[in-house]
Amino acid sequence: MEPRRVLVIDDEAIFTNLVKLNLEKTGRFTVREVNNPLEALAAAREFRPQVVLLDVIMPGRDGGQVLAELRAHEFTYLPAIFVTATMTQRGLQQRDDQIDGVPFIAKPVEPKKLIKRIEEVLGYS
Amino acid sequence: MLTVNTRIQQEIAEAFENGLRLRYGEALGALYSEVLRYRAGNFLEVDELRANLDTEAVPVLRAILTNKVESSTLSGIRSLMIGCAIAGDQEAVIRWATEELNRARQFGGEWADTVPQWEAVLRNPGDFVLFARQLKYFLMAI
Repeated sequence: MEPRRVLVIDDEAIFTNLVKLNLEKTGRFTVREVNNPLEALAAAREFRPQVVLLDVIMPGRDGGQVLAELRAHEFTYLPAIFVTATMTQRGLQQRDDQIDGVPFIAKPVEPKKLIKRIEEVLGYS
Repeated sequence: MLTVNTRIQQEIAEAFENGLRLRYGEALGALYSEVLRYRAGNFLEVDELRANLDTEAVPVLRAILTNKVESSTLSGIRSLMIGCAIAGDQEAVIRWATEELNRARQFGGEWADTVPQWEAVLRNPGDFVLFARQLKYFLMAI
């Protein structure tokens, strides 16, 4: 199977680096990192992601605004997972890893859990 | 909610607040004062405090994601930042303080007046966290 394309948007390069490393070593994903949320749309147009992983709170533009921008263009149905350092794993688990139906994952992210979450939103396990 | 049970405790808290403003300046002193009154039942019991913070974070994250940030959201962020400082979570303090700084600038008005507070926290978040925890320990001791 072709590796799935994952766009990771977070102002913390160390986080996007780690996600890329962990996902790509499985051979099941190819990852494009974006550390400036203002560049998200251009990166998406070039990379054509199948899923986007994005931080909620970023300087310049928050994750909600970035996703709204992507979905207002040609990525209307792009599945998304939000990442946050402001809630604990436990707190999110108690809410079924979602807020209002939107998938969330807490930092620090466990690679296995992240992969499982991505596969869930892509519709396979 | 931090309960101030007696008149003496109330007076001590007020004296602390005035002293903090004199010692650390209006911006930082005002934030330290709010640490004293941070509303968390058992504010130094980490699991309970974290659970409270998780609960408080949900409406704030929801508001940010739906682009419906209002004055109450900014109050929520302020509360979360202080709670995270008491919990010793410096990374979260930086995140919330940055968000609050950006939003306060956007909102203008009275919120713009709080900009120096967030700038002060972001200049030295480690000191803010340490001092917030020490304040709480001290208040518990008395």
